[in-house]
Amino acid sequence: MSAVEAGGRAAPGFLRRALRAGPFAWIVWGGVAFFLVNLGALILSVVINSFAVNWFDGWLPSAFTTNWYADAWREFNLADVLLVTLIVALVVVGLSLLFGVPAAYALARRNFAGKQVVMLLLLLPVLLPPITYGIPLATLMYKVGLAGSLAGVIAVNLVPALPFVVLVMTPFIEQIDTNIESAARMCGAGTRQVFTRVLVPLLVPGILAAAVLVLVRTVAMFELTFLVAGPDSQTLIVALYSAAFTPGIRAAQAIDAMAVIYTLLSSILLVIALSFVNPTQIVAQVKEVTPE
Amino acid sequence: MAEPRTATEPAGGSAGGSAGKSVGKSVGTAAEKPGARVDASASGASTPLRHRLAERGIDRLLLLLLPAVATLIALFLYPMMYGVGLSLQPRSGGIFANYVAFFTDPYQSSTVWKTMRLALPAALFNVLVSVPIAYRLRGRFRGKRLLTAILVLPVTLGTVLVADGILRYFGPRGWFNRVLLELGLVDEPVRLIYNYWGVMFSLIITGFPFAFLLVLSYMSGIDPTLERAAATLGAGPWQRVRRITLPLLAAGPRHHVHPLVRAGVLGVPLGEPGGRTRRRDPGDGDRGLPGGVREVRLHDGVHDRRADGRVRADRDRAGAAVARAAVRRAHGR
Amino acid sequence: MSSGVVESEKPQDGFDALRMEGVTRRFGNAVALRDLNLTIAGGEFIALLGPSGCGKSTALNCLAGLLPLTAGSIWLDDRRIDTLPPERRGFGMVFQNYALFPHLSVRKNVGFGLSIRKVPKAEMNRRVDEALRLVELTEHADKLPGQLSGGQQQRVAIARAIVIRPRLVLMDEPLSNLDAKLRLQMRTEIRRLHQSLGLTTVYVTHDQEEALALADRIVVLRGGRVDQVGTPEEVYTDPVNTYVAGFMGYRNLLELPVASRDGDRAVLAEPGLRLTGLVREEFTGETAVAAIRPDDFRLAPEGGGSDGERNAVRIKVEVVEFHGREVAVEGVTETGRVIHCRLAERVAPGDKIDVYAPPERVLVYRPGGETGE
Repeated sequence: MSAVEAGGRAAPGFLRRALRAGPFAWIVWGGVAFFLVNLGALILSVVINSFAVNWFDGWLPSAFTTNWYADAWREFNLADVLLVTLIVALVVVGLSLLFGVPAAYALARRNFAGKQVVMLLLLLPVLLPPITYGIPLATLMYKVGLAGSLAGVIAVNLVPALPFVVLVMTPFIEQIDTNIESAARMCGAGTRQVFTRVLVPLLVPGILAAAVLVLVRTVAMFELTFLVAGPDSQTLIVALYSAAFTPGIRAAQAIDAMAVIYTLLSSILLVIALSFVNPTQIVAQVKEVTPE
Repeated sequence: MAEPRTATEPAGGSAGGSAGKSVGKSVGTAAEKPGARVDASASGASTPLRHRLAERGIDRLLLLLLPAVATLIALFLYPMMYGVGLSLQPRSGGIFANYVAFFTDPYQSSTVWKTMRLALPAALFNVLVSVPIAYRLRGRFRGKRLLTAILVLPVTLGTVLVADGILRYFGPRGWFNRVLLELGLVDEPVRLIYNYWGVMFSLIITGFPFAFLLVLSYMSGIDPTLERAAATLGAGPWQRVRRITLPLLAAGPRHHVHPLVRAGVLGVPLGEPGGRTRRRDPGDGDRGLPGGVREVRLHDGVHDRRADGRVRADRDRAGAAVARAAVRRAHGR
Repeated sequence: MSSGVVESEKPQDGFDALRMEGVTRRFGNAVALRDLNLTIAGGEFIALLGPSGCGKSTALNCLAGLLPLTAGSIWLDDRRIDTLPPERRGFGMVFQNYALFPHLSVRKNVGFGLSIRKVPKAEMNRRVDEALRLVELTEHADKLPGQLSGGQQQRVAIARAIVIRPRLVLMDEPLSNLDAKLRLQMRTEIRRLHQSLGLTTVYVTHDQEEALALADRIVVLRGGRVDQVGTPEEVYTDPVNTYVAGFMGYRNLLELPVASRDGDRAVLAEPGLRLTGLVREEFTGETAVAAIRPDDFRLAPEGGGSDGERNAVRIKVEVVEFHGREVAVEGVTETGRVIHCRLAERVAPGDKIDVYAPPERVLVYRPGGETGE
C-alpha cells in the first residue's frame, strides 16, 4: 500500500497501516516503539522506587511501602506548595488573559507603523530560554522588593505567559468576520458591548485553549520561579528541585515520591489541556485545523 | 426627480469636530480601518491629522495593547537592556572586556563548545527522527490524537524525574544494563550515565516531543492533494517524498521562524542554557552581575562529579542556583 | 456605553431628507468617493448602482458610519450625523454575507438591537415575533444560523435590521450570494417589505435588473461620482451618457461617423448602416455613439435594406440564444459591426435578416463617455 493512498484518506487505524506498510515503515515504527518502551521503563523505575523501602540491587525492590508519600507530603510541606502552585498558576492565567486578549484583538484588527516591533516584543519572551531574561528580571525584582513574595513569582511568570496568550488568540480573532462586529455596531452596540456580547462568546474556545496552555506551562516553568521565589512562594517544581539538590540528606525515595506527585499533577493538567486543544498547540502557535 | 446637486454649500461652521454630538470610543471595524471623527472642511483639501492617522491604523483601539506592552517593557525589555548594559560596563578594560574575558578563559569558552556538542546533535537527531515518524502520522487515522498525546507526555515529566529515571534506569544496576547482560550483548554494564550519553538521553527525551509536534504540524499542513497529484503523474513513493514533501517542509511557512529551526531550537528544551555556559556571565567577576559572580566551577555538594560529566538537569538547575545565589547576595540576603 | 436613547425609538421614526454633501472618501492615494452630493427623501427606496470599484459600497459604509469621511458631511434633516459613530445613528444594515451572530439563535439575533436598547422583554418578544412573521421565519426562531440555508439567513439579517424600526435601512448587495431562483424570490420579498413598512432604504447593487425592480430612484455611480440620478423609468429609457447606457443594458454602442445634424436629431452613417437618432449628449467631433437596446429592435418584414428613417439594418445572424418567448441574436452587418437584438421570431445562425429600431429609441452620445471624463 503506497504511502499516498494510506495517508490521503482516513485510514482505518494506524496499526493496520503499519502492518501493511513496507520495511521502512517497520523501521520507523520499531524506533518509536523502542523509544516508548525505554521511556516507559524509565518512568516506571522511578515510580517503583518511590514505593520501595529501599532498592539498591536486583530487578525489583525487596519490600514496598507507601510511607514515602506521606513523608514527602509532610516534610516538603506539599499542601502549602500545591496551594502556592495553584494560586500562582491561576492568577497568571487570569492576568495574561486580561491583558493578552485585548492586545491580540488590537494586533489582529489593525496594521500600523511599528506593528512589527510590537510583535517582536511579544514574540521574544517565548522564543528565548527563560534564563536569558530571568536573571536580570530577578535582579529587578530584588530591587523593587518583590522577590520572595507571591506577587514577584506571579510577575515573572507573566512574561512568557502574555505573549503566549497573544500568539494563541490571534488566529482565533482573525477567524471572526469583521462584518459581525460591524453588524453589532449597527444594532447599537458600543465597544464594550461588542466585546462582551459578541467577541468574547465567540472567542471562548480560544480563550479556553490559551488558559489551559498557560496553566500547563506555568506549572512547569522552573527557571523563572526558581530565581525569584522565597521559601513560602515556591511552586511545586521549584520545591522539588530544592528537595533534590540543596544540601542535606534526604531519602531518594521521598524525592522520587515528590517527583511522581509532580508528574501526576502535570499529567492531569495535560490531559485536561488536550481535551481543549490540539497537542501541537502546547508547543507552538498553530491554528487549530479542526478536520484533523 | 432630483438632479444630483453639484454645488457644495460650505458645511455650516464645521461643527467643532467632536464637540456636541460625538461620543466616546469610536472604534469602527470596517475593512478600511475607520475610527476618527473628522471635521468636514468645505474644500476637503487637507485631511485632518486624526483621519490620516486612522488610515495608518493608528486609533484608540491601540490602547488595548497598552497593558500587555507596558508589562513586557517593564518586565522583559528593561531587564534585558539592563543586563546587556551591565555586561558592557566592566570595572576595568574596554567595553567588551567581559566578553573578551569569557572567550579567552579556556574553561568558559570551552563551555560554548560543550553546549554545541550536546545541543546540535540532539536537535539534529530530534528533528531528523521526527520527520519520518511525522510523515507516517500525517494523515488522519483513529488513534492519531492518542498517539500524539503519548508522544507529548514527556513534557509533563519534569526534569527531576527524568534525571533520576536516567540515573536509575541506565545506571550500572538499572534495568537497561540488566537486560543487556541477560541477553549476553555485553559483558559488563555499559557506562551510560555521568557522561555525554546521559546528557544526550535527557536532551532527547525532553526535546523530542517539541520537535515532533512542530514537524508534525507542518507536515500535516502540507496539502495531501499535492502528493496525490504527483502520484497521478507517475511519481513513486520515494520520489514524492524527495521532490514534494521535503522541499515543502524545508521551505516552511513564510511568516514564522523556520519550523525545522524552531523544532531544533525548542527541541533543545526551553530553559536549557547549558548551565552557565553562555549566560550573562562576565568573565571578570567584579562588576558583571551584581555581587560579583565569578565563573564558578561546579562543585555542588550533593553530587560530586566532574564538570563534563553532568547530567543535564544538574547543569541548568545548578547554573540557575548559582545565578540565584548571586542575585540574592547582591541584595544582601 | 451606548445610552438607552436612540432617536429611532421615538414615535415618529421618519425624516424628511437625508443629505450627503460633498462627501469625499480617500484611502491613501486612492479616491473612492469624490465630492458626492445626494438627497434622499424619507420613505424612498434608493439603489446605488454601478460596477465594482465605483464607490457604492464605500458610500453605504460612510452612511453607516463604518467609514469616516475624508471631507463633506451628512445631514439628517438639520442634524449633522457624520460625526456620530455607527451605534448611535439608529440605522439598520444588511450585509452581503449576512453577518449573523453565530452563537445566538435566530430569535436572539433578531432581538439583539432591541436588547442593546434595553427594550422590556415583553415588548421585545412581541416585536421579534412580528419581524419573524414578516420574513416568514417564525418556525425557525430557535435555530442557530448555522442550521439555516442562505436564503433563510438573509431573511434573518433583514428581520434584524428592521426590527429596531430604523430611520434608514442600508443593504449591501444582500442578494449576491444567493442562487438565481432565490434571488428573484427575495427580491420580491424586499419589495413587499418596503411597500408595507415604508422604511427609507439605500440598496447597493451591481445588478441593473435588481435596481430597476426595487428602487424608487436609481443613483448610477462611476469612479466615486454620481453620473445619473433618476427613476428606473428615466434611467432605463433615458441614460445620460454611454457609461450609464452601457450599464443599463444598451448593448449596442456604435461609434459611427456623423452624417448630418438637425436640431435634436442626428444621422450617423457608414456603409451598410444608417441610423437616425435623438441627440442626448452634445458632441463636437466627427463621430458619435448610437446607443440602442437589443429589445428595441424589431424584425423588419421582407424587403428593404437600410432605408433612412426606419433605421433598418441588415445583419447576418451568428449566435442565437434561447430566452423563452424571445431569442437573443448576435449578428454582423456587412462591414462587420456587431449588433445585438432580441426578437420574438425564431431565427437560425446563418440567416440574413433585417432589423430596425425607431429613431426615438436610438440615442446619440458623445464618444468616449464610456471611460474617461
